[in-house]
Amino acid sequence: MNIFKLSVKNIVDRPLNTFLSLLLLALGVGLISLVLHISTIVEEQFEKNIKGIDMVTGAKGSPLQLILSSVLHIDDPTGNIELVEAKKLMQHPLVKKAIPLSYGDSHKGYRIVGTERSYLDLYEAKVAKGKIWEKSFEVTVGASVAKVLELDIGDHFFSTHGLVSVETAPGHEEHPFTVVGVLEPTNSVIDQLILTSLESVWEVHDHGNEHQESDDEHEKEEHMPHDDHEMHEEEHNHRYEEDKEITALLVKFRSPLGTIQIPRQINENTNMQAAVPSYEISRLFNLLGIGVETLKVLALAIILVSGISVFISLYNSLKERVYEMALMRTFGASKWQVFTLVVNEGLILSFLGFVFGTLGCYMALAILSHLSNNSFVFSFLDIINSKDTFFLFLLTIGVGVFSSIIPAFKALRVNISKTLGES
Amino acid sequence: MISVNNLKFSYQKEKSFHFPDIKLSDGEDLLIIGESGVGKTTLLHLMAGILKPERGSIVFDSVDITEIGKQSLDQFRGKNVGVVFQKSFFIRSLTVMENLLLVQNLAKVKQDKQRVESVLDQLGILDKRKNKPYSLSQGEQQRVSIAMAVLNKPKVLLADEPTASLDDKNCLKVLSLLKEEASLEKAHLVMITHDQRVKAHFKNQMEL
Ligand SMILES: Nc1ncnc2c1ncn2[C@@H]1O[C@H](COP(=O)(O)OP(=O)(O)OP(=O)(O)O)[C@@H](O)[C@H]1O
Ligand SMILES: [Mg+2]
Repeated sequence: MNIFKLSVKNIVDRPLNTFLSLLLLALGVGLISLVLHISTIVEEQFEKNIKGIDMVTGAKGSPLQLILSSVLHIDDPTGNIELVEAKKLMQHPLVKKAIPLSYGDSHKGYRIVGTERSYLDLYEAKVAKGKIWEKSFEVTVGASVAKVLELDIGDHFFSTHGLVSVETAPGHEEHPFTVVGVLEPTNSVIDQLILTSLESVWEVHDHGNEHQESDDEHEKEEHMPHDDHEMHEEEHNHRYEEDKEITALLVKFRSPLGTIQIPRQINENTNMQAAVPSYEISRLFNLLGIGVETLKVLALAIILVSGISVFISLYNSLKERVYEMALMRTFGASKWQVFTLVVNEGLILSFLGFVFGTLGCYMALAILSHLSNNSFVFSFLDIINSKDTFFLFLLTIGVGVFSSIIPAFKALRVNISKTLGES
Repeated sequence: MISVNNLKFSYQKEKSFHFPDIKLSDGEDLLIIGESGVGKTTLLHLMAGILKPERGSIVFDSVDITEIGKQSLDQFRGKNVGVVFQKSFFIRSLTVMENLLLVQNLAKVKQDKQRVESVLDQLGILDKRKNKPYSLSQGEQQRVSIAMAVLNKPKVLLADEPTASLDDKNCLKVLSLLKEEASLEKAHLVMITHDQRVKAHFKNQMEL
């Protein structure tokens, strides 16, 4: 038996108070930690995904939607643009690299993106198994897609309109896609995509139009909000180069000058839209930031209340424990030992609260990661090592010390003679 | 050997206590008798070193406890003075055994379960070692208090009216337990009381 063990015994001896204090502490710590880590993870994820893209060009509409759909693939496209127009832009001297994307269909919730090989370079994606698509209807799938859908080389599947993952969603049953390769995990959006050539996407839609009138109408709404595409209906099979459309063009400029000049030129002079990912994403974060701040304040308030709960618990228990303090002093305990005893109790509670909160945060993240089909990855070590966790640790321990310091001084000042002589 | 000389103490300026000198040779016990409010408990607390006298000396063997610093006084008390209070106090969250182990720990004496068990056995409460002390009967609680007081083999065992609320039979029992334990652990028993029943059992007596 010693002072530390006694602290533990004392905590265990007041199970309800201890439970309440721990619950509040863990809740506060867990919530803050969750908010901080999710916003860091999301921010990192977004930054990783927009890295190397200075501008996105697509159909007119909401610029944020354009970025969310073309870069992060979490929204529907704004519409299509003509390949000819896009090609003109590609020739611009300030454009260093331009990657065309054509998308809209999906397979079991995973988007099928028609693009060029340069898209893989953007995210430094390497082939883990098989090869990169070559012929039409060959696809190379991202790591998560392969894992979740259990797709392997040689597997076939049909595409579905939009991003719905429902089996009954209208689809293109004519041309099956064939998996020819699986990519290594990149921890970027590409893990969630099914990649193929632009031609494949074009061909799917040509054939779709041939057979299903209703489907055609549907498609018109979805992919061609502009009504200057009359010829599309007449010449299904033989598209000319000038009829071809893409959904978005990802652009990297040679110099920052491009980011300043070109988006405005496009927005003012063409029927296309240009959006700057970094700008749109920071705008999004500013909006989300208010929510994040609110949650942080809420969690801090919970931690504060938990501190008060620890204080009340210690203060109340001390009323009956002054006799114990005086008794301990008669048996040789020093003032600082009884002081330490009380502070220990605050420290142990706050430490446990921190541990439970952090574990809770980790479990919540693990569940979220699982629910989102591993669309983000994180490790427990990342959480332990993060600066946020460290500051949160200091904060929690600080709360423990502060809430126990007044009761501890009360214990330190116990008048032994008076306390034990009173009865 | 215990000697108390020229001891003076006051709670407030107006009223101060002058205590008669005490001199106990090895093996001697003492009964201090006095009316309520005469300062018996005060004297006991002074001898235990939990009150500091205005003047005078309290010497255990060769150590004057009025002259040692606060920190080492705590330790000196833990090792050399055992106190049995009129009412029994314990650490609520600990068992009897743990209370006694804590008493050893606080006095910086090596924790020794065998020693604890032998003391509990002497007092006939070994089977209660795993109980929480406040769940025991009054008599058992008092024995645990005595066990705590004698555990570290103190030089002096101070008892503050341990028999006041007991009937004749239990009064004698506690009295003999205290005397037994004191002689077993070679401690001076200094008992304070206004209980006339215990008078016959002490050779050395002092009236306040
Ligand atoms: N902490 C204190 N502050 C001020 N006065 C005190 C304090 N403790 C005791 N006194 C007073 O000092 C006097 C002696 O008290 P003490 O407790 O020593 O008496 P006692 O002889 O033990 O009495 P009893 O037999 O009733 O226990 C009393 O008048 C009491 O009111
Ligand atoms: Mg008294």
